Amino acid sequence: MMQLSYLDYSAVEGKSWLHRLPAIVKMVGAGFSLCGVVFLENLPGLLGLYTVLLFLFVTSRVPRAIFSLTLYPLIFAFLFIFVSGFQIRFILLIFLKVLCGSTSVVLLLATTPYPAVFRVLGKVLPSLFVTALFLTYRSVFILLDTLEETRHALYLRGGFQWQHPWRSLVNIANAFGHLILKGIDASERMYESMVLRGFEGKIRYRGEKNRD
Amino acid sequence: MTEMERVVEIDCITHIYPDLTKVQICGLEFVVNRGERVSILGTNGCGKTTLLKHLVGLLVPKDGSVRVFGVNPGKDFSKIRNKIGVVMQDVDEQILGPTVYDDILFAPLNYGVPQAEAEALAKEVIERLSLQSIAGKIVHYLSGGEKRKVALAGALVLKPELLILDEPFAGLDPLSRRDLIRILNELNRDNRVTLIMTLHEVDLVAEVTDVLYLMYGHGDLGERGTPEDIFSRFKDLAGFNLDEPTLSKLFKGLKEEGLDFGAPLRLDEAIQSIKSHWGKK
Amino acid sequence: MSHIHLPDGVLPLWLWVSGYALAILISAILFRFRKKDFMTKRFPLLGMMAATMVLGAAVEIIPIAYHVNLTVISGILLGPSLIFLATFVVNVILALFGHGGVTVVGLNTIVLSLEGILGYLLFRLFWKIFRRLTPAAFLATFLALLVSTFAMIGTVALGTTHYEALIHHEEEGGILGFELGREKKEHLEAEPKGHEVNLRRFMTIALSLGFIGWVLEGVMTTLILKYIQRLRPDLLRLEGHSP
Repeated sequence: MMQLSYLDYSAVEGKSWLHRLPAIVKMVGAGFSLCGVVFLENLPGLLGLYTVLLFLFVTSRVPRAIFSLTLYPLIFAFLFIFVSGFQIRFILLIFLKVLCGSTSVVLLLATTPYPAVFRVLGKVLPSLFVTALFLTYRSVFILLDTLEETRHALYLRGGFQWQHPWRSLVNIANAFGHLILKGIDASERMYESMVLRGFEGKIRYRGEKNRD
Repeated sequence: MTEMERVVEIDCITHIYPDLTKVQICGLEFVVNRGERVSILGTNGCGKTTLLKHLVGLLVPKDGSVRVFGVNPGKDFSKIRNKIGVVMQDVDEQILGPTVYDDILFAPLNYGVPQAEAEALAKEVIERLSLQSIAGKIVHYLSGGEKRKVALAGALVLKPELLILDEPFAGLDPLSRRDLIRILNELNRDNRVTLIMTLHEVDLVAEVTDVLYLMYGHGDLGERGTPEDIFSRFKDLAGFNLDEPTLSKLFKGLKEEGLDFGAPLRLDEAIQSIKSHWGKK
Repeated sequence: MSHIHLPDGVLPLWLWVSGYALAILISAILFRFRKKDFMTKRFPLLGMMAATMVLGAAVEIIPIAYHVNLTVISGILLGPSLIFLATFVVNVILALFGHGGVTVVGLNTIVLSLEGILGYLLFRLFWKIFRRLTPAAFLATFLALLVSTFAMIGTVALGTTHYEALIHHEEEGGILGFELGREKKEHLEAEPKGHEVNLRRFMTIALSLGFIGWVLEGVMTTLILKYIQRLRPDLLRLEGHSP
């Protein structure tokens, strides 16, 4: 979870050559990389692509802690071992596709602040969807603080104890319940703020064309 | 202050929350004249925020009347919306834009102000509140004080005639507090913005208030007057569960010791008072 | 375990493109037939619930990569139309964080919103039958996840010929030529026996792991709903239940 905020922070504070590239260029690059992932079906090609992505990762000085985000999807790629009947080439193919795909998007988001990414998406997606994206991303960070505080409180007050799994599960559930209720309260206040600031059914953000 | 045009009038309102909590704000009529700086002091949970929410139509009273700029905000808030700027207590949910600049642009763009004009308004308020260094910052990396300033900028961008603030000094460090006091007083003095705010900090009341209302714990408004008038009668105000301002306590204590320097409530006044009394000696 | 954490490039092109097309079509229909002010009034709530799902996906409850889905709860709180948009947004954001492929966002949205919508409907149904929160919540979640897991397996199964093609793909001087050469010979020599793609094994693993997930999620959902019922029963809008 800390990696989410780390990812965002890296995008905002990073100063490498990749950070300085315009968002559209990086998104097109990520798009090409994803095309490679989809259409390449040979190991050397995928290995080459992954090498390039790793090179970009290293030269853009993205924190190493973020690298583990790119490995997470491998857990589920393991399922595909069972589809293939343990064929090594197929397994390697899948793993490389996973790594190339996840590295491309993580690299994009680690070097590009999310408003820039969403603004580019806003040029092709419906405004309502982009508004939902903006609001959700903002809400993630409002709730992240609450979740962190609740986790710390549970930890300090004996809420997680492996010797008492049921009690721990109840505490975790209550923590999520608390998060949901806090989120709902926050959403009501957010709506009040939106109304007070001119919201009348459509949110207009900077750079958005008025298409009604 | 020469005009006495009434901007706000509230007369004995009752509101019932979904959990059936009843809040009744009666006692005195709540009146705010144009250009005044009005503060409401009261204990936690007495109904201060409820009162403010009625002013902007977020709550509608079951009984009683609310008029803001001559209009019932519960029904016709859209007629007066662009005359009012609001900074609520919890600023996190008020900040909607991804960056500071985007957030300040929110209201103008959503009111239909053309982009170029909206950006000019935003730049003006950024300069006024000295937010240039953080204009491009993503909002969830702002400090508490910065968030409050950004929320204030968002409320001021359309140059409102009335600014409503719910506990604006909560959680601010002394420097940020001083800064906010200066900004609010400048807005009132230079732009004749009417201010209504709820406060806990009794020591700050005299710095930002022309008219002070005291609210009882059960919601009724019990006192109205200048801070000097109200705090000079502090012994009679036990029912409000308030703490007396530090300077007030100090000078009352000195008076009891035979050193009468008057009853200043502001530091600059206190210094002048001591100087002039010392000079006489 | 119904969230398809499938990587990009594994499912056939026609399948994930269809997933996107269908997701976009359903979104367009929902926006057209739902009143605009209903949608926009509930946007902040949608944002917060979507954010909660994102955070749920980021918090590992048990270290076998089990995380709470919160889709059924979101479905109950948001209702069927908003849950679709919420899951769409959640999947886009999770894809950007590397949690699952970008190309499978459409398919994930369909599967997860099926979970949310079914969860909502089954919860209402079981509440009418049992009039008690625990069985209603647990059974609704368990069954919704069961159906969505089968939907996920079915989606994966649709790409069988594509996986076979990937398995049998000719390699031109690849770096692992010595191994591949041997495997390729074996494939060429042997009669194709049914198919090398072993979906049955995949299904067994997916359902076994899935079962653990359904039970855990059912328990978590029940506990969370009980918490919400205690503090804000109005949010659940349960018939015949006064706060």
